[in-house]
Amino acid sequence: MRTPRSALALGLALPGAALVGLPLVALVWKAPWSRAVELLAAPGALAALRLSLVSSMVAAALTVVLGLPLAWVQARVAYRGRGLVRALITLPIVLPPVSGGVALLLAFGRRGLVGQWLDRGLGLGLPFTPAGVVLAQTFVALPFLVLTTEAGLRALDTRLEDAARTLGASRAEVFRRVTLPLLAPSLAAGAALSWARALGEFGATITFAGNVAGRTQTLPLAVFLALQGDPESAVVLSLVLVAVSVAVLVGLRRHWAPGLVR
Amino acid sequence: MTAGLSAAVAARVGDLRLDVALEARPGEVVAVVGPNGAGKSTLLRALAGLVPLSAGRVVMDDTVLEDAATGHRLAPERRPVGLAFQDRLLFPHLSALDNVAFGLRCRGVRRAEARRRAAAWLDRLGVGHRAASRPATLSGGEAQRVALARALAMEPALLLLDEPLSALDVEARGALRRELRPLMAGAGVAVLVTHDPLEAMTLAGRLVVLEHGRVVQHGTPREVAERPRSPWVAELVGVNLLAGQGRDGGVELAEGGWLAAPGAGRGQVFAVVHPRAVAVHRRPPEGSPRNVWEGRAEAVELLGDRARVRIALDGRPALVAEVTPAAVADLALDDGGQVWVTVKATEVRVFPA
Repeated sequence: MRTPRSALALGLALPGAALVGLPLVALVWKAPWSRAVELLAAPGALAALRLSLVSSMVAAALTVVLGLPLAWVQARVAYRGRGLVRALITLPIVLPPVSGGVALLLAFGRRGLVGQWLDRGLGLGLPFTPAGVVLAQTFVALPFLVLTTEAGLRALDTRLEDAARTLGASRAEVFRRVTLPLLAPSLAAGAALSWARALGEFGATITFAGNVAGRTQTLPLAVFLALQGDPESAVVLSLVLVAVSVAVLVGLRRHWAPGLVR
Repeated sequence: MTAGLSAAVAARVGDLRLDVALEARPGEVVAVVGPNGAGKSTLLRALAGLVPLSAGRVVMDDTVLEDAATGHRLAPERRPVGLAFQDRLLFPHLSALDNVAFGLRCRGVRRAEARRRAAAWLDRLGVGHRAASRPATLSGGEAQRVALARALAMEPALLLLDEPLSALDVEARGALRRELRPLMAGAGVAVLVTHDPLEAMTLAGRLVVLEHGRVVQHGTPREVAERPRSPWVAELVGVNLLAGQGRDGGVELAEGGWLAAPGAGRGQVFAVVHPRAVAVHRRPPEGSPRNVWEGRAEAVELLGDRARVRIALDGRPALVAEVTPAAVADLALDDGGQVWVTVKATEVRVFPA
């Protein structure tokens, strides 16, 4: 029903929608569609796309490996300082990524707290390498995996795990046969969100891993660089990132906004 | 040492302090009854190893499952115990068949064999046709049957059933109750937690009444019904229970008043008055009944061809009277009006507390 009141509400809601929608519309509108394939196929663009896809997937896998035990402890172990640890885990979400990159340099850089030992002892230099790209992406993406998985663990009925124990399942079997399958949707949602975050990573990556074409230049870095020389290329590469992000959000809408999906 | 269950369970969970001794011979079905929060479910969880004992010892068929004194404690998965939970707790990600096969698989039975045996148990409980269904699509009755099949498929020496019929409607409850008896007879020892007197009386050879974490009474259903030792048990079996001091020819009631009853002993006694022995009048009764009290009708409950009226008495414990539905109308009992009740002295049963 159209009433004056809802018309007013619509009017007030419009600027917000326009702020988010207009840039996306402009991106699609102004895209040089006739040159799209050519621009995407350029060697620099392809290399950046490949590095972005590979590094973000490795980073997403790492967040699962590192994040699942962390989420487990946060959800199941009551210890002093748990709230503080949760705040620290969440920090990379709100921290300016460039500051995150500086912090990573101080920790894992060639003269960093841990980095100097890695560099001298193991010959493992992380900064300005593809491994450094993955590390920076994992750093910013980890909170998404941990928070989503921890919420999933808290929502899980632990009495189901009790039931499994009375049916002869050891702790390890309970985890494998009951906990993990029930946690799978949360884990998948967390992994997808952290993958999307890793894919779009810019600040921490450029600070910690630099912007070396073909080595540490991911798609967002390539977009930024292209903007100076070939703006049309930047538009096309941006569209690729938008398309991937939209695909992830649509695929996972049941997990990030369960109340909004009909 | 002997076969069967011998358990002394002391445990603390939240505000509840559980302290219960429970013995059962092989083949025996024991019903644990009691009000909400009495510790019935906690007792089952302790026997299953899900709640640690603070003191005591649980022995099943000569195997010590737990001994608080020595710290010996068999993990839940290593106990010969099957527990059917009140909330069923079926695994939502597995079909009914795989739920029942779960325990067998954990025990190392090969998949095909586990599924074959699980299907046989589902058939036995009349839900073989739902084998492929996920728990979310099962009705309450079907889910309950699958949960029972899951516990029974382990062929446990000690079968623990927590309110197995509570979630069902009246019809489904009656049907499953009749099937439960032979199923429990197949187990070594079965402990059944329930708040339904009919369930306890018809399924168990022995009742254990739990209140505030302690056993207030145990015995055969008949013993408990005839000599209830707490108001909750009395209400469970549907009689009035009055505590007091026995004097010559009657009982000085603990809550006030005198109840005439010939042959009442001395000392602490319980007096049992069946609701049928309580007569209700709209006017002060004539003649010479010795127990006449004034009060108000509080609540009327219709039970088919009978009605039960709860009557609040001045300075005395409330009494439940059983009358015909016609009398409810004639005496206008449902308007909370003033009434007189009489209890024939000869219909009061008194026994030592």
